[in-house]
Amino acid sequence: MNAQPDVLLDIKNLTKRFSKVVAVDDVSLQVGSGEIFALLGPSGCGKSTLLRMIAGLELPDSGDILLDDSSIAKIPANKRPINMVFQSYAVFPHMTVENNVAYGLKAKRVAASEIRQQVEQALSQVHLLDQRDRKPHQLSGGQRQRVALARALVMQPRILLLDEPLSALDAKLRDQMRLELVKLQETVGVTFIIVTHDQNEAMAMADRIAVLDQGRVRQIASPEELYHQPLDTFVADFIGKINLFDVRKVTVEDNRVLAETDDFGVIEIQHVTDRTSELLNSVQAVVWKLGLRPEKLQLVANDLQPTEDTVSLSGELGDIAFQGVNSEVEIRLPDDKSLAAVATADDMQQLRQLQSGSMVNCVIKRRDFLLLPESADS
Amino acid sequence: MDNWRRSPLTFAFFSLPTLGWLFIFFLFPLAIVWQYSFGENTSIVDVEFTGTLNNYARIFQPEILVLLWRTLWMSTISTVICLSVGYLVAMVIASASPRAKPWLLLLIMLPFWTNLLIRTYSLLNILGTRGRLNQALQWIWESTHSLLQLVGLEGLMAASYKPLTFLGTPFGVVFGLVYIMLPFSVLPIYAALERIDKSCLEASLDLGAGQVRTFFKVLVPMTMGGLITAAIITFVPTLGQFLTPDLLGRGQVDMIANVIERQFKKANDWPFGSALSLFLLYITFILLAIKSIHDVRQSRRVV
Ligand SMILES: Nc1ncnc2c1ncn2[C@@H]1O[C@H](COP(=O)(O)OP(=O)(O)O)[C@@H](O)[C@H]1O
Ligand SMILES: [Mg+2]
Repeated sequence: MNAQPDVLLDIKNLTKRFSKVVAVDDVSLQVGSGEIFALLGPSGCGKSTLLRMIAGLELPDSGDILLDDSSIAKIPANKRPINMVFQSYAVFPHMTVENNVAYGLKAKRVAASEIRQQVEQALSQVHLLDQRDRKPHQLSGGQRQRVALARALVMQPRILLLDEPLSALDAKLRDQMRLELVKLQETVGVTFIIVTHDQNEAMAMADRIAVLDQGRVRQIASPEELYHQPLDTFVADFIGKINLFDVRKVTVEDNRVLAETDDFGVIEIQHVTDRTSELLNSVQAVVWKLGLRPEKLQLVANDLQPTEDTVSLSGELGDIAFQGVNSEVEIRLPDDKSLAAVATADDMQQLRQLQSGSMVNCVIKRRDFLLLPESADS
Repeated sequence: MDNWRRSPLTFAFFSLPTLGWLFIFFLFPLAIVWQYSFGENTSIVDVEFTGTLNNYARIFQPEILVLLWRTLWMSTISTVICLSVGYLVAMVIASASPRAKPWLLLLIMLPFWTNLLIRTYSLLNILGTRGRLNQALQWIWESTHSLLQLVGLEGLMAASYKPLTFLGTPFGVVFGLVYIMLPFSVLPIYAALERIDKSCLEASLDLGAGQVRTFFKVLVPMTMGGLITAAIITFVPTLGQFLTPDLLGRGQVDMIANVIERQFKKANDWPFGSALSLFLLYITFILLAIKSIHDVRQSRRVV
């Protein structure tokens, strides 16, 4: 992992079991100061459990959590300088907005005048000043979430934890709140750890993302790196779409990594990840796949010949999903496989003249292929 | 659920049996009692309905007021104890594993299905001078004494245990009332605890509050509706208890229901008994009115 300038939170080999289920399995990761860090993974992969262990609401079975180089694993939740926005928001229903936000400060026995001032500031940060005397049941879902946000931020935590902060909002509000959260983070400068199962959300908001699956970390990287250099087929598939091709054999010759395929013959791999070289050097049996992002499949007129930098392939035109600027096009190969390709507006001009089922050709640059080990359980 | 509004006839048809039952066995007898409360005894068996308010006036004579006062404070204390103990019991059940819950609830309900008389008599066995409670206390006393003897400090306490008197004291009666009424307290509180969003408790901890603050500032306010229901359905029947004070109070700790019972039996003063009964009913109505005002406020909150 690239060294962070200053590591704020250092999680070491954290494991948590619930009777038979291993919810979090030997997770290690570091979060830098001032980052937006996302925990991304399918539902049930242990994101919330990991977050709750950071908050102190769940005790780890083994491993350690360091905040500023000192262990907080044994410190109870109410003594940790970390606050959480719960998935259900957990706004106190019997208190006004103002009292909700003041709750933590009162527990800390902050002077009343100071409380008033800080609550006011927190409420203005989330644009709720005019709702201060309302009860939660008089607020919309989005407003309730802001109360939860203000209530946590007013405590000036070192880290703010957000469990699926956008999942309960409707689509339009979600986009708005996504931007607002990022802006808010920039203003207050608090480190955010966001749990989400939505890769778009994670990609749009986070500086770095940890992809989790079945309680384990698959990869920790920036959104760009996750997209362009996924470590295995699980990450590649979870972060965006990917077309996978079978690989018969991978050989290394004079430091060149060559993948033999049925579809395209031998392909030389340009970007070899550390993980890949590690696996190539080990004796472990690995199932390899060639991965290709849909936008790397270039739709071409029928007569274009492949050059030595490219390979080509043809198939039947399948469904077209219009998505604004670009459209997603399905291409059915003879062996019943189907590929996803991206068509630009220009491509669409031509494609519109074709019928579903007509043959289309695609050109692929050889260097765009990714060599991916198949993850053991996906 | 509200399509009965559209077919009032069907609704009337199906509610008729209930209404009939209520009328014949509740409203009609109540009307008789109400009528009696304005009557005067003319002979041992005859009552003349003169519309007098004398029976109600008699409630305010000192002997009755003393009893009413005692009924009130003993019921209040019993209710407070029931609510406190009931809250803890409800919390234990609510936090038990899903498999244990039905069994724990069954354990709470079990006494309901046992005859009140049997339960009260068994309390006699526990609270008596030679009862189980005194036996246990005696054992503790004597063990402590012999322990002190070992270190040569036996002078600190008398060698023999003098049994405490529970029967015939307010303590004994309150003990019995709490024992009988406890399930009524547990169930509404339990229901309220099950309904709340548990993450509010975690949020409280997360915001730096301790367990005590979380309990009083979050848990109790969030279950207030259940607490008020529990308070009323515990307090109201306690006001009307007569078997418990009769058996455990030994006639020395009478409550108002004992007086009412006596009016209908020994004293043979039905008009006064009726006035007293209705007086209790009025108190109940006032409490229910308070509760429904709270409910209306609550439902405004939800809408
Ligand atoms: N309190 C708990 N008791 C038992 N199992 C739990 C508990 N909390 C979580 N789990 C299990 O741990 C796994 C991970 O859960 P969770 O962390 O909530 O996943 P996510 O938030 O990623 O959806 C799941 O299989 C879930 O059933
Ligand atoms: Mg979750």
